Amino acid sequence: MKEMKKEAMLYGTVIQQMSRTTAALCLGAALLLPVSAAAAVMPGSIAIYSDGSVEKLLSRANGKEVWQDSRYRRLTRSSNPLLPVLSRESLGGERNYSHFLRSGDPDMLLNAPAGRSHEFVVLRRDKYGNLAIKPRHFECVVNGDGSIRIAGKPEKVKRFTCERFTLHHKLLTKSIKETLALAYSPRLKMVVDTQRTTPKKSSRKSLVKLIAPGKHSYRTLRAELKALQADKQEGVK
Amino acid sequence: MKSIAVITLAMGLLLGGCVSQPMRSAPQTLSAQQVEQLFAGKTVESVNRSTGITSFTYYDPDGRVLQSRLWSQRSGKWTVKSNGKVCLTFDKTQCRRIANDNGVYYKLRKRKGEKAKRVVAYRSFHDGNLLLGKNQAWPKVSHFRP
Repeated sequence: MKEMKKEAMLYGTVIQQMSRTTAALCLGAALLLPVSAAAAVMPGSIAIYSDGSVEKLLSRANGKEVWQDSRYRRLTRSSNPLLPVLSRESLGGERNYSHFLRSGDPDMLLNAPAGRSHEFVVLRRDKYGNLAIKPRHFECVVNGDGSIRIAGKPEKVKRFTCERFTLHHKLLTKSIKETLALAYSPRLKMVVDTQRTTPKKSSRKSLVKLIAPGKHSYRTLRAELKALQADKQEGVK
Repeated sequence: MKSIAVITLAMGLLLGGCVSQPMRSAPQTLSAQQVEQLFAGKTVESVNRSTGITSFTYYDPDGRVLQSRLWSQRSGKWTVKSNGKVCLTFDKTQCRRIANDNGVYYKLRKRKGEKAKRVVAYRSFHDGNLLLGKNQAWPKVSHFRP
């Protein structure tokens, strides 16, 4: 029941637009669904992030999910949030890049206690089908459970920190390329906050709003993005 | 002393000539024919340089235009004027010049007393209509739906 209420709050904008009667009916219908099915983000949902990016979930099956960004590129992600995007394809169908796991088992970290770490290696293939010479090493640490606010409501998360690095071919010295601090919501089955730090810059992307399948309109999305842009400019000032 | 300076200057000029500089030409506005060739039958990805929002627009050779942005679509008409301005008509008509700056195309907006501003950058041009599935009907709304 508590989970259902949270779900309704997250899809707040949608519920607000509907009449009270319709909302009550929808909530009633949702209560009939098993909690696990109703909790995860459903295909057709649109996620708006603090950096102004927007993504739509197209499908979720067999441990993979396909998202589409506002450039209509298809991003195939593993259900394991620690793995990088598995592949990206443009609207024309050209594959931009793909990643695949060469060694390690990042799944072991998903239910591991805080403090546990694990290293895995990923290979990257570019748009021409060529494998990158240097494999991408990831070392992830479980930081434990926490809570994050999305649209003003608390959301339980699991926190991880991952370092991506390459190894010098002879000296085997580490060269850190980026550090990712992730907050993953097991209920929504998605990463809701990412802090990315590279040797040159740092950026943050957090989930601001989720719009339920079939409930978006150009006007509402445009208004949300405009508000985010205004907030950003206000922050700069 | 004078001869040393002359030799140094000559060497400098010679070596300077060896360093390859990328050839950059001044931005050019396109003619009507060039605009027609660039857009007709293509699905074009563009980005609004002020909002950062991406649009995909299919320019049908028969004069219809279909635009998709943030999973919403609208349709209208497109024409090219003899002066090279491309006109898009949805709820209202807007005509703009297109410029080519070293292979990157831009839509220009020129207001009275101001320099032409690059308002839209074109990212890619794909052959055919990538916005409609085989059995999907051409939408008949001039404002974004949903």
